[in-house]
Amino acid sequence: MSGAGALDGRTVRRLSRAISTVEDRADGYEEILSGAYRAPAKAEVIGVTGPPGAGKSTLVDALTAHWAGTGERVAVLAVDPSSPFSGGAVLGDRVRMDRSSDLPSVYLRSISARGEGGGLSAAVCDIVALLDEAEFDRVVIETVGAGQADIAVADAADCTLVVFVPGLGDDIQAAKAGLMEVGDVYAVNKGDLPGAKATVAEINGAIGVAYAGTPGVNKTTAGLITAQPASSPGRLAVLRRHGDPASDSTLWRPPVQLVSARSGDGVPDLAGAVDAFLGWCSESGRPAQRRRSRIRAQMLRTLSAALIAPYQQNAGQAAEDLAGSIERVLASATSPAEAVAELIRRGSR
Amino acid sequence: MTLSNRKIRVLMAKVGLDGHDVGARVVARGLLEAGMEVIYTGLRRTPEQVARAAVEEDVDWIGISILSGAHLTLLPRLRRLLDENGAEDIRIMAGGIIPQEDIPELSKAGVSRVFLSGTAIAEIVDYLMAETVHD
Repeated sequence: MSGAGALDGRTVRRLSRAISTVEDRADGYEEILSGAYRAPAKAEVIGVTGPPGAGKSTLVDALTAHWAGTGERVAVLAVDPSSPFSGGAVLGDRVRMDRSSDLPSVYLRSISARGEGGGLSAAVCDIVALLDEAEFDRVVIETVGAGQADIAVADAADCTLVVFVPGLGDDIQAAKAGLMEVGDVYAVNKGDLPGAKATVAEINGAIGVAYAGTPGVNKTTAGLITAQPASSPGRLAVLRRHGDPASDSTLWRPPVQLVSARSGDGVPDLAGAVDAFLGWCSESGRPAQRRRSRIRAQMLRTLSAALIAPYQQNAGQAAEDLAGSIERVLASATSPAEAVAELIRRGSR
Repeated sequence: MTLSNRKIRVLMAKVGLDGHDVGARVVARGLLEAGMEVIYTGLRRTPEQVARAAVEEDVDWIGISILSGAHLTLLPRLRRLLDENGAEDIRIMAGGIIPQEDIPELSKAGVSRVFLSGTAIAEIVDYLMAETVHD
């Protein structure tokens, strides 16, 4: 192995084992994380989401090879769904990672969602901390790709890339309420298929309803205001992420890039659009905010796991109280909401 | 130690010039149903690629499906590559078309178990459950 960001075998082995320990919450994981979260967080985290079949894995492969080619050390976390019945998983993203997986500065890890909704696994943010400690320049997270609800990545990533393909038709309309709200950059993959340019125009149109200006960075001017009411929760989220005309001198409008992951056409431009967004974020003072939202999401996740854990044991006061509550709900004596409120009041461990 | 959380992870791979992966897929499905995490690499991988993937994925086992007849070359090479990368604890099982008389040589080269064709998936699952050691 050679090159600027090349990884040596021992580092990879240690990192890989640490990731398993953290995923499994096995002995020693607290200590591992305590070290990892004390390392400076410098990796740019790119989240890639989109409907199934959009070509996310192939695009992640192409982007990863591109960034590794510029001398960066790049990690890929490819999340796939787990079986609701057995908790097992078949993780097949490596099959499409031919261009990047042999490069010396690339680390590729398949992650099972392990029952977590939203397209990520509970451990993903912790794993990002481990990768920061291992001095990665960039982390690319590929979500499960189950569809509209696959948006947890927006809380975890510094830049969220939403991938569509031509031919989804009305699905883009349907996806508006989810995927169309989280993208910092949009890509239309399989750009050589008929209708690709029309799909780009369609997505641009949908973006234009919520954003003024032209794709990319815009100077804030008096004319650059959309018709949307400024105080709605969705609006406030846009202002927070992409610039507020009242307080920012520049605004970001998500661009839509035509790309063909398989042939590589448009990949450098797409990578450029992602980096332009990251550059705008840092100029407008937003990276800290992105990191704060990642930590908040992980805190909430960790908190909920910790609160639930005693009730999931096979024995103990909490488990007994829960079993008792279940019986009362079964006997039509109370509702789950009332029973849970009672459990929380009692606070048994 | 919190035993319940520890997942058995298995890399299923096809090495060399060998285009049939039905067997590998059937085993992958069986391991999934037993609650294991299976990483599938796709066809025509080199032992170098498989060893690297196994270390990155921190698997307990590598399952090699091989129908090409090159098992006496490819499997010992894979074992050697793992050992050289400090992954002595990642174990190899193999299946496919492997003559019975080759098994002793493969055992000596560090292949933990060979499953001949016709093996029930349940036998593989039981074996992995019994043999996997998490430190």
